[in-house]
Parts: sequence; C-alpha cells; structure tokens
Amino acid sequence: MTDEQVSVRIVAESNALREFEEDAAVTVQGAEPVRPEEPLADARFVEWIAIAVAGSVAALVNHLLRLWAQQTERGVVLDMSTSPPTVSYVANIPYGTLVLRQEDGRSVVHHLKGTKSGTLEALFMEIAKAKAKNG
Amino acid sequence: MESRFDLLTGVAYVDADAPESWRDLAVLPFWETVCDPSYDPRLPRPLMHESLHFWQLMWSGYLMSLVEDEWQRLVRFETVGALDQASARVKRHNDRNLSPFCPDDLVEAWCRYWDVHIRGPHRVLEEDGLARPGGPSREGMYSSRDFDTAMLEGPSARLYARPYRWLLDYFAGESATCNALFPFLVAVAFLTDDPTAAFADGATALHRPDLADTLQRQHTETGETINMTWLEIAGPMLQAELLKHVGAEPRLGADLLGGPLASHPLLSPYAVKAAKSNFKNWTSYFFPSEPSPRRYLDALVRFSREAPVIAQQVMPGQPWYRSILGALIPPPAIQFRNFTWFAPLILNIEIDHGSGSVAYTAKGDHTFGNDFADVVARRARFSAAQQEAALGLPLGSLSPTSTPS
Repeated sequence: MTDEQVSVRIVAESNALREFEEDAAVTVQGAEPVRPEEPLADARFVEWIAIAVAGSVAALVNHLLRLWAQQTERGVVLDMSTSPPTVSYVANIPYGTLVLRQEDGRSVVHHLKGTKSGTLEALFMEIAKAKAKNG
Repeated sequence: MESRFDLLTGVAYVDADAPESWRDLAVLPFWETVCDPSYDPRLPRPLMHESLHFWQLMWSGYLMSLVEDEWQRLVRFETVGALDQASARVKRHNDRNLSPFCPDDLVEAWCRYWDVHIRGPHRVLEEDGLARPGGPSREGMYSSRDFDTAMLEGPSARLYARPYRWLLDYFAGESATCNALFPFLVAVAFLTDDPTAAFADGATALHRPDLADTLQRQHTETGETINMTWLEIAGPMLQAELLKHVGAEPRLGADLLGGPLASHPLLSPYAVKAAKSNFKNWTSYFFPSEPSPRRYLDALVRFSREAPVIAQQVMPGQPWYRSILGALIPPPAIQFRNFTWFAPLILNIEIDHGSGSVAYTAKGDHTFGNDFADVVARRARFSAAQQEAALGLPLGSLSPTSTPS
C-alpha cells in the first residue's frame, strides 16, 4: 500500500458517510444527495449521496473494497474522466463487474471473479496512484 | 438488498424478512397490523412505503403515463434493438432544476406523508433518531408539531421534505391546515399532466381566510383527530374545490392499462383488479376488526358511498380503506429477503356464514409468480442497455457471460 494522498468522489448509500467521517485517515470534503440518472429510476427507500473525500490511497482503497463487498446487487463504475475521479456503485450493472471509464471517455469492462477479488483492489490501487502522479 | 419500488415492473423490494406464515397467503394480514410489534423492526416501514408507491401508480394517470412511455421504449428495444431517448415527460419527472421542486419530489413527499401518518410520527422519529418536539401531547395522540418534525427532518429529508415545506411556507406555517389539505392537493395534482403546477395552483385556490376558518372548525369538531378531519373535508375539498381545476376528465392510473400497457404481464391485470375494487362492494368483507367510534365508522361508510373509487386510494391512512387496498390491489410481487410473495391474479373470497370466517385464495392457483421472473429479467436487460449507452459501451457488454478478467 502507498501513503500518497488522493481525492475521490464516491457515490454510495448515505449511511456510508458516517464510515468516512469516523476514519481519521480520510477527510470528508463535502456530501450532496444524488438521484440515479436513469429515466424513471426506481423509487428508492435509501438516499444516495456523492461524498468528496481525500486520504491515502491505502485508506481509500480499504473503504472502496468494503463498500463493494456490501453492495452485492451493484457493479462499480470508476470514472477517471471526472476530476476528482468518481467511484459509483450502480444498480444496473451486475455485481462483480467493474467499468473503467478512461480519461478520454472510452470505457473498459472488467468481469471480476469472487467476492475478494485481488483484481479489483489492484485496479483501485493503479487508478489511484496514476491519478496521484498526474495530479 | 435495497428496499425500493420499481415503477416499470410494479414490483416492491423490501430489505427485511417476512413472517414465514405469509409465504402462501393470498391476502397479507399486514395492512391491518402495520404497527404489530412482533414484526422484524426492519419490515413495516419499507413494506408500507413501497406499497404506497404502488397505490400511487394505480391512482395517478400521470405516473402511469410515464410507465406507459418506458414500457413502449422497452418493447421497442426488444423488438428492433434500438434504445430510444426517454420521453420529454419522463425526463422532466426528476429534473432537479425545476422550481420549486420536480414531480418526483412530490411523489416522495406524498409517500412520506402517509408513511408518517400510518405508522405514527412518534415511531418514525424514534427510528430516525430524532427527538420529539416539546409541547403538550395527549396520550396515544400526536400533534401537528410531531408530524411536521417527522415530515421535515430525518436521514432522507432532502428527498421528500421540499414540497411539504413549500406548502407550510405558503400557508405561513399553519401546520394543521397543511396537514389536512396536503393529501387532497397532491392526489388531484397527480391526475393532471403537470403535478407540480397543479399542486401549486391548488394551494393558491385554497389559500383563503374562509377556508382556514372552516378547517379550524372541522378540526375542533372532529376532536382534533386527523382521520375524521380528512373524511369531513374530503368531499367538498375534492369535488367542489380541487377537481374543477383539473379541467378535462381526471385520468386514473388504472384507466390507462388498456393501451400499450395491455402487454405488460404484471400491470395489465390491474385494469380488472382495480375496477373490481370499488369500495362499496366490499364493506362487509373488510369491516375493521379494531373497535372504532361509531361516528368515525359512519363517516367512512358515507364517504365510500359518495366516492367509492377515490375513497380508498386518496386516503390509505384510513385503516379500513387500506385493508381493502392491500387485499384487492396489492403490488403484484413483493420480494422480501427470505422469499417473494405473489399476489393472486384473481382473488377468491369465500365466506362461511355460519362462523363468519373469510377465506382468501388465488383463483385457480394463478398468481403473478408465473410472469415475475421473465418481466424482471426483461427489465434488467433494458436497464443494462441504458447503462451501456450512457457509458458508451456496445450493447451486451455488461452481460456477466462475457469473459472475466
């Protein structure tokens, strides 16, 4: 793991906010409610929010993996074209799927095996480090 | 699992275990026993909330027209492989830039309103970790302050509080008036093509000193019980004050099920189910088991005779009306954590006149379970295609059958 500091925008259930706020290794920079972009999205009982958070790559990857393990009906979109990068847990993508949206807007799909995928962790790490280097 | 209601399929998802005894029941006992303390504490709130969304859909021509648009888009996607743009009204439905709020905000506020009344503000405040406001409160009753606190605060308040706060501001903080008028304003608004504008127009029409005096008098005469106030003002409020603003014939959601939605396996049967749910035909079957004041029962019966179709759907906060809604037009499928419950396609009711007991069965054992998996799978493919389009991916690339990395 690395100690480099990065910022990420994370779209997750609102109760995830407390998890970030209680972790001294990360700083919550803001949170706002979001609605799914799909037309006529489901009426959802739980509010979803976008949390802007900064911290070490290691700390953020831990949180992202924990959220990924909790959201067993959702895939992940890692959008590198936004600044900071956005990680969203998306209902319309099957669990075990990670979509990497690159900085040029093109998307690559990764289908991951197992629930403790080293691939997912490695992807999060590489992306976070790349973003840290590029500023 | 996430509690939610899927408008396009009509399926409710409830992130809690249901009692095993419900598994094969044709009518769930829940609608009469919402506050039964023996339930898994995670069960009542989302089950009530998501069921309310289904009844909104059956009531509202506006909401059903959105589903009609999306269903046609889904069918076209399946038949020609093209993913059309969503219709203008679907896009507008949750446009957060609309002022003072968008129709989707109003849907959530409407649902929350009944959620709080049905389960009681005290319970909702406790669940949300909110303190009760100060001030006097009679034993077993709740005040408008209790209601407003539950309605305007809480972890998801940003989703549902705006329209109610707007109305409260419009009526200069006159909580009892807002509380009485809100369900009628919002119900009529959702019979129009522009619920937000209709809601605001209705509020303007009702913002009169004489009406405030009438409401205050009703409130006092009914012993300050909101259930009686609703019944006393429902007829004049709906027919004399609000429905005239709708203009053309109001459109109920269930009335639209004969058009493009006739091919929807989970919704189209409700064209018949809703038509058969006319309240006055069912009073003897669903008479409330809890003792209630005679005056209240008389008012329930009177209003159901005056306005049988709207009686139930406008006021699910009346336990008797809610029992009928739950029995006759429940959501077609409710997926709990431990099993999925399916409503009967046609409900059979047998009454033993000797013992007075009533037995409910699914006629011919036919339930919505036959079509459930197929409709949900079609919906999932359609949703995945929309996501693929949004991400610039080829259609089918999010299918889990693709090669794993």
